[in-house]
Order: sequence, then C-alpha cells, then structure tokens
Amino acid sequence: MDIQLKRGMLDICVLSAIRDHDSYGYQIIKDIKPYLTISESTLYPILRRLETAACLTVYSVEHNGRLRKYYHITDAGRERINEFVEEWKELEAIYQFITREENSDE
Amino acid sequence: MNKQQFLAAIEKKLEGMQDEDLRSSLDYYEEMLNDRIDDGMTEEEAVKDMGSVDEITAQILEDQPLALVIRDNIKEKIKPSRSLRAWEIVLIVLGSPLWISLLAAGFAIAVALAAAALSLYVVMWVLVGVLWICVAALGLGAVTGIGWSIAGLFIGRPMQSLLTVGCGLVCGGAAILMFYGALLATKGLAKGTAAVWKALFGSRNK
Repeated sequence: MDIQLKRGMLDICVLSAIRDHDSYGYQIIKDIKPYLTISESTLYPILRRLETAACLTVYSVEHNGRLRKYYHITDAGRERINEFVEEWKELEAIYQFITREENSDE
Repeated sequence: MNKQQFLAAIEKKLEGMQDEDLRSSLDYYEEMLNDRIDDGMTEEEAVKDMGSVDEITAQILEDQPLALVIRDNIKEKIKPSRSLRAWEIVLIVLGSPLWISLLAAGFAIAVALAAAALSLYVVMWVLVGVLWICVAALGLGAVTGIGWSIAGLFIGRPMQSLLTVGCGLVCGGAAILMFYGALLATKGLAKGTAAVWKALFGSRNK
C-alpha cells in the first residue's frame, strides 16, 4: 500500500482499536496486525501524536505487579473516525466513477 | 540479549535526550516486552520480536523536534567544564586586600630582580670596556717608549734610551697579550648575551 495512504490510515486504525473499549499497546498492535503491518516503533509516535491532539487519554493500571498504560478514546478521537468515514464515502463515489464500465450507456 | 540489555542499549543510544522523553520511551518498550512475556514468549524471543535497537532509536529521534535534538547535542558538547560558584566569588572579593598586596609585592620583587640582573650585565660590559682601555693605554705606552728611545739615541743618551725601549717592549708585549684577553672576554659576553636572549624571547618567535 502507498506509504502516505498508510500513514493516514494508521492513526484512524489506532483510534478504532480503542473505540469500543480501552486498550494497551500490545493489544492494539495485535488487533491492527491482520489489516496493516504495524510495529512498536511505529505505534509509539502515533500514540503520542494522538495524545497531544487530545484524541485519546492515557492512564495506568496495575497488572501482574507492574504498571500498564491504557488508552481511552475522547470525543475528539471519535470525531476523527467519523470524519474519516465521511471522507471515505466521497472517495467511494470517486472510485465508482473511475471504475465505471466502458460504453455502458451509449 | 535479555530485556535489561535491550533497554540499556536503547538508553545508551539516546544519550543526551530530554529525561522525560527518554523515560517514557523506555517505559513503553519495557511494557511491550512484558506483555509479550505474559503472552508466553521468553525474554529473548520478546526482544527478537521487537526489531533492532538502531531501528527503534532512529524512530524515536525522528519523532523529536529537530530544534530539540540539536539543542541537546550542543548543550552536551559545549558545556563549560565548570564555572565560578557564588562562594568562590565572595571569597575572591573578601580576600582582595590580601591577594592584591601579595600580587603587588611579587611584582615589586620581580622588578627588583630584573633591575639587579640588568645592572650586573652593564657592569660586565664596563669591565670589558676597561680591559680595552688598558690595551689601548699599554699600546700607547709601547709606541711612546720605543719612539722616545729612538729620540734618546739621537740626543746622545744611550742609557735612557735602553731603559725606555725596554719599557716600551714590555708595554707592547702586555698590550698584545691583553688584546687577546679582551677579545676573548668581548666574544664570550656577546655569545652569553645572545644565548640568554634566545632563551628568554627566542622560543616565542620560533
């Protein structure tokens, strides 16, 4: 997949991975992996970026005697997902136009 | 490589980065390793699954604002070895009556020593000058003595002329001996001067 397209998609995928329930780093990677290749070193800056943009909040939970960071989506984060879906609908119309059948009407 | 070695390697690569950012990066990777281990991997497997340290640190640095990276590097490199602390400045100011007078005394002693050395040097040249004057006087004595003895022969006083020719020859001999002595002294003093001059100022020019 095109690298620019993938970059834009990854942010939305991460938000989508925490949309229904809060999640932690390794779980997010496992959830996204079947669809997009993502490594720890790619996820880290995305999480920080989304946190700075107030699309998610971070909190720590004790797990097996250590702290694990959980990520919680905010309204701004949900809004980002919705914007993406709306944009995608427009893209879909363009896609239909590009792939229409030749000489179908005339 | 085990977990601790892996984290230490990342920390070493990111030396000079802001503490807070470094800490949060390390926490993140430690959590990732622990979650893999909880998932049933061994430490070594978890580390292997993580990718290379170079790749990870490159990604972290890429995420840092450029200005911050440069600033941290500069701060690291041109940090002055140490600056004066407040109590040191106070001590210097309070101690000024003492160290200023000591400095002045040291300066006076240095000037006195230089003056003494200079006068000694002048005296040496005067002595050499006296030697040359002696040479000149003896030479003059020889010339007048011999001249006078020749005149004595003509005016008919052979005994006196014999005496003066003897004196003249003695003066001439002494003059020749002293001439070499004075020449040696002059050369020696000139060479000594050159050597001292070179030792004092020569090293600065060459």
